[in-house]
Amino acid sequence: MTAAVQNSLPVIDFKAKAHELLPQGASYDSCLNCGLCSSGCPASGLEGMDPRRFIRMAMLGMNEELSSTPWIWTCTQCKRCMYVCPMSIDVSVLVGLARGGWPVEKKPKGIVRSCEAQLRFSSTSAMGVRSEDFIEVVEEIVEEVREQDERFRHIEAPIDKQGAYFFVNQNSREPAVEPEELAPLLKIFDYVGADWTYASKGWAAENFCMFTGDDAAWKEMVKQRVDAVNELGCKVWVNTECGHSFYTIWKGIERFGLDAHFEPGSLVSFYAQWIREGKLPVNPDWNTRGIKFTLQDPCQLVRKSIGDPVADDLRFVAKQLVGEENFIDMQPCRSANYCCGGGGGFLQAGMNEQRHAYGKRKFDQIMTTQADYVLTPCHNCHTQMDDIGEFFGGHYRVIHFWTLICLSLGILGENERKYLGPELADIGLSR
Amino acid sequence: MNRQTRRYKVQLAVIGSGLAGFAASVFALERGIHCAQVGNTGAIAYTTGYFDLLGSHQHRLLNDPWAGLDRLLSSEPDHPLSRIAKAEIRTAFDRFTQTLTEMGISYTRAGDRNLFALTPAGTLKPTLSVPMTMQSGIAARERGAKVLIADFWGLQGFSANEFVANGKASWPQLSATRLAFPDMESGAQVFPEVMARALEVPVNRERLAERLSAVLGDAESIGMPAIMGIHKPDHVHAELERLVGVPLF
Amino acid sequence: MNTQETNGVETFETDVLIIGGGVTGTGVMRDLALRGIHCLLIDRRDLNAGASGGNHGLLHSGGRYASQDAETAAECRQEGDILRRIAAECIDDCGGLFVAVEGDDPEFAEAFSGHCKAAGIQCTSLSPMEAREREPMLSERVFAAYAVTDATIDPFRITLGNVNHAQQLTRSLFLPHTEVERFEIENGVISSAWCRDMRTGARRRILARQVVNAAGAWAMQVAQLAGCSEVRLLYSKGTLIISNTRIGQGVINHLRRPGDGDILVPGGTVSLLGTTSDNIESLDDIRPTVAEVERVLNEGRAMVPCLEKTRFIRAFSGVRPLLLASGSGADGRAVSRGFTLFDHQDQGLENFATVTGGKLTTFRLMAEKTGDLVARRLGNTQPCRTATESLPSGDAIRWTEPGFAPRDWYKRNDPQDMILCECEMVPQSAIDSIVESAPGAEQQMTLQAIGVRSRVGKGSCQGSFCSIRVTSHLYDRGVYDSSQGLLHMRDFLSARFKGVQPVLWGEQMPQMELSEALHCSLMGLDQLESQSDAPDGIGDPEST
Ligand SMILES: Cc1cc2nc3c(=O)[nH]c(=O)nc-3n(C[C@H](O)[C@H](O)[C@H](O)COP(=O)(O)OP(=O)(O)OC[C@H]3O[C@@H](n4cnc5c(N)ncnc54)[C@H](O)[C@@H]3O)c2cc1C
Ligand code: SF4
Ligand code: SF4
Ligand code: SF4
Repeated sequence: MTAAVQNSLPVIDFKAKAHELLPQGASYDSCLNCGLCSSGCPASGLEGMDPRRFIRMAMLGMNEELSSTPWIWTCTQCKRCMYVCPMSIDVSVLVGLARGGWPVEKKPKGIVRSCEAQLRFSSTSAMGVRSEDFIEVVEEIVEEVREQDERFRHIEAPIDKQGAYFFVNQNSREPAVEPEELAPLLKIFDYVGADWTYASKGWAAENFCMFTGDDAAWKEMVKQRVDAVNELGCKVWVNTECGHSFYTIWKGIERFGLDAHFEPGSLVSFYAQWIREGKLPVNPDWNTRGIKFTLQDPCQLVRKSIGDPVADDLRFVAKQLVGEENFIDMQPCRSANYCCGGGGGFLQAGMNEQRHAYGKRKFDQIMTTQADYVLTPCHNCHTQMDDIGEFFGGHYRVIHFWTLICLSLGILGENERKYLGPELADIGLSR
Repeated sequence: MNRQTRRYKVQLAVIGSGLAGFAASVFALERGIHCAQVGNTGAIAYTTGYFDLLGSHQHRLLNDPWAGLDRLLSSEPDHPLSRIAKAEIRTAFDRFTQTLTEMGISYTRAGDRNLFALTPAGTLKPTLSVPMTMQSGIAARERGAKVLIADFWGLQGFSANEFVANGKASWPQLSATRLAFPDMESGAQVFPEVMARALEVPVNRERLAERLSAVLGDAESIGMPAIMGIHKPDHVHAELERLVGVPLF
Repeated sequence: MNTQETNGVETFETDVLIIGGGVTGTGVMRDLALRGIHCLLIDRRDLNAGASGGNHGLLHSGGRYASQDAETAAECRQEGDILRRIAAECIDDCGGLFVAVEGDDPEFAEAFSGHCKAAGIQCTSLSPMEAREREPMLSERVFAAYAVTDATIDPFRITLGNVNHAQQLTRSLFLPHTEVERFEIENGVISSAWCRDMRTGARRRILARQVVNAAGAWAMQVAQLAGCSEVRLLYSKGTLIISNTRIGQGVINHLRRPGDGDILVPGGTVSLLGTTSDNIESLDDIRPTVAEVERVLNEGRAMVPCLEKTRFIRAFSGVRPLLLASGSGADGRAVSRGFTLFDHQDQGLENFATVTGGKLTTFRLMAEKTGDLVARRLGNTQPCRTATESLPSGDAIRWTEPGFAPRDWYKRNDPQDMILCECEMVPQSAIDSIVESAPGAEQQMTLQAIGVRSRVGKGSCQGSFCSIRVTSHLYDRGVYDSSQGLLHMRDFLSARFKGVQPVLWGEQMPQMELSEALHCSLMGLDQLESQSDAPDGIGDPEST
């Protein structure tokens, strides 16, 4: 336990608030004290806390302690505790409440700054990428792809296309630091002939405001995006492979009762659909060396949102890509998967020591599979697993689905292989 | 907002994810019935791992649970176990433990007699089938073998001293020791689930095996809390035994 | 004090033998020790094994008695003020309400404030709205409400504090599980008391210059051992139920003539609802029943409808001794209508006194009167000091207060100090201090004894997890070294279960299923050879 934050923080009455926040029938009062939540929570032991303890302290009225423990920034709000709890008790609600109680100047700076950046521009980008810059980057990439690959001579990246079927939210990371990573997804859309569009407003996918515990800011963020989709009249909203961005919309619309004229969809489910329909004829033929792959189920997408159906899709796509025999699941997996420790703003919170300790469980899980690669459709998972791999001395690499889809289809450009190892550097290169 | 719902078309929906639900699915699948099982965490998360049939009848411990069933039938004709034929019970037991064995969680085959399994407190409990990982402990007790019981810093609710204190009357060759689990040396609370998962990783097994070997002395076998793997316990158990060179339970 | 062993009988010598380790007996112990007198306190079970461990913990403002018994009401008020001064740490000055709901007698309600005034009790009239602002879960049907200065008091902390202080002052001693069986009387003087150790069966002889019978509901039986027949008691059993979490801010009393289920009292992190009142014949096997629990609940719901959906974790019962006739003789007259002190002079006994009846709230006064009598008989001229001298705290006696252990643990910030009881968050360090130095600590201390001195087993799991962990810890520390430890654990759980049984519905049901799985399926406790030391079925030390 590190000492609780100095200076007194506003004290929240957790028990009273819990009664207001929880749905009918759910109550911390029904906790059996069995400890399944704590036993399965990677944040257990950090700052001397764990989820069961948090609940007990709330019920014992230890509001001052809970209002000030820094543990709330190490809990990624991944809801695994709730998933395993026989009484379905959700600690993350209280954690969100506690986060909201911290004065802005005491909250972890990284998360706060990202949220502030999002609120500043109509792009809603946490990395401060403005819309005009985004449009410029996209245009440059489209230009590059057209030049590099004959097959994509006519590729387009529509912006603000009224009535497009898909509205695509883009995580800021690519336009900001690795624009070449935008290309594979553009190619996939082109390959399957998707009717899609980016937008000039509210195009960014991430939402750090949700992690600050500031509900109003979370709502504002979601509202801007919902308005943007409604305005263009799109049918389906998808985001690039990013877990929390999906959850923030999927949950936010419901939580804040927003009027959305579209359906939030998961990109992975569309990959699966296109593969089944034959539009995306991927196969594992390239994997002649029997390279082994495992899969990280992002909690934001699987456990917290769609659940096991999307976990099925993830596995279907992965197996089609790498071959059934080269796919090894982590244990536990699907909705019971452990959070990697990158979520909830942990990556941005500056608590590296705690974040590594949290990630040790994920690291052990990956090492048990002895896989060479971890596939994941989530940016935070990606960064965190890379980081713990380096920290604990793992030898695996982490990649997005789009990289492997393009690799399998033979349309992955030479400069789009940043995350692949040397053994895959020249596989499927057309020229 | 629209949210897509998915429909699954199956022949059988099993509601409940406890032991009964699980068994129902297993038996259905064996018959080629396409099924889906739904449910959330229930009592199964807390189970011991033993499969009991009938351990006692009218406050008397039973050596022979099958004979006990006859007595149960006469004293409590409405008891669920009184309503099933013995042969069917046996088949079901076998099928079920067979399935688990195929999954990498081997069980001893249900026999004619109850086994006297060791509880974490060092007492005995009559049961019919136990995971193979516990089997050598039962055998060691029957032989009165020289056995070392290890517990771990930070692990609550299991004390090697307690095991020895309760067991020593009938098993004098017991002794206790306390170890630090690899990477969990701080003395802060550790959870068995986490230890069990850690042991699925080869390097952690090697490090634990070194520590076990260091305290083994002239013991013939080492007993530990139930931390030997969780997904592939058979494999973890076999590997640890290979590394330490004596039976473990 | 001298102790010696002859022919396997341990003999103790003391100035005063006190029988009964409730608030009264321990109060007398401290009172006398403050006058420099050595005492030996015995209890057939443990501290607070009787009514002192089976009550509401309500420090009465007096409002409850204002309408019928002005004298007791005034006594409560005065004693309440004194206790607030000398034992502030044991008191939660949460305030209280008296509320009348539709269906209650409006005239009775109307007259309440007048009665309070007459007894000098502070009482403020509130509108139903104001009352509900203070206690939002009050029924919409409240039509009259008054605020009074009720508070709650932790009787365990008081008892432990009394004994602890007496030990410090005159090296007085407490012997648990020691029952007095026989008195030797010579020339109008009790020359020795013969006792039995309820655990080992060993016999003990106590030589005391004075003997005080503070055996609560058992006082009649003890007095009869000395041939005194004038202590005639009626036993009134009361049953209470405990909720999993605290339900109100302060005490809520039903404004009507006292009946079942008419007080809801917060006890730190939980609340207690009760009580019933039924006359019983025998003190054997006092346990709460389902019917009693239902009665309490039905009545309670009228004031606080959410009790319908509240999770209750346990019920317990206590016995109030009611005096059938007042005592006799100059000093033996009823000191007040609440309690009675018998000097037994009429029965020709020079060194025997009985004090019984009364309230938790008035224990100090009972002890003062008894102390005055005993001191005078011993020729001690020291005045009573309990009204002014604060009750000191101590390391090993702080653990009964709900929420204290976790706060202390959190502050100390020692990751190796593991929490053994997760419900109430009692860490290892608390158990260690209790086993080492709490009043009544001894070799192979039982889980029940630890439970009386801490919050272990008091939370929603009712001992399911903590019993296993604390037992393991005690084996680790070498406190237990045989199967005796497991038997203690089983006894502890059986005792807890007695209280859980009548509230087994809703959320407490899965909890107990889990408990059964743990203790029977996993630990095989149901198969342990029974060597229980539990004597007859008298109520185990209960606490909130
Ligand atoms: C249900 C209920 C609710 C109550 N609520 C309140 C309240 O809210 N506020 C309030 O002020 N008062 C309340 N009271 C009253 C109060 O609890 C009692 O007046 C007070 O605790 C009595 O204390 P005591 O020490 O006289 O008796 P007890 O606490 O009964 O102590 C007597 C002790 O003597 C021991 N003993 C018996 N026989 C022997 C023997 N032969 N040898 C050795 N030891 C022996 C017993 O084991 C016991 O420990 C309540 C009482 C009941 C029953
Ligand atoms: S898993 Fe659920 S019931 Fe068990 S301790 Fe955690 S919150 Fe309580
Ligand atoms: S939400 Fe995740 S990190 Fe937070 S307490 Fe639950 S399991 Fe632990
Ligand atoms: S980082 Fe990944 S694993 Fe962690 S919360 Fe986010 S989606 Fe879940």
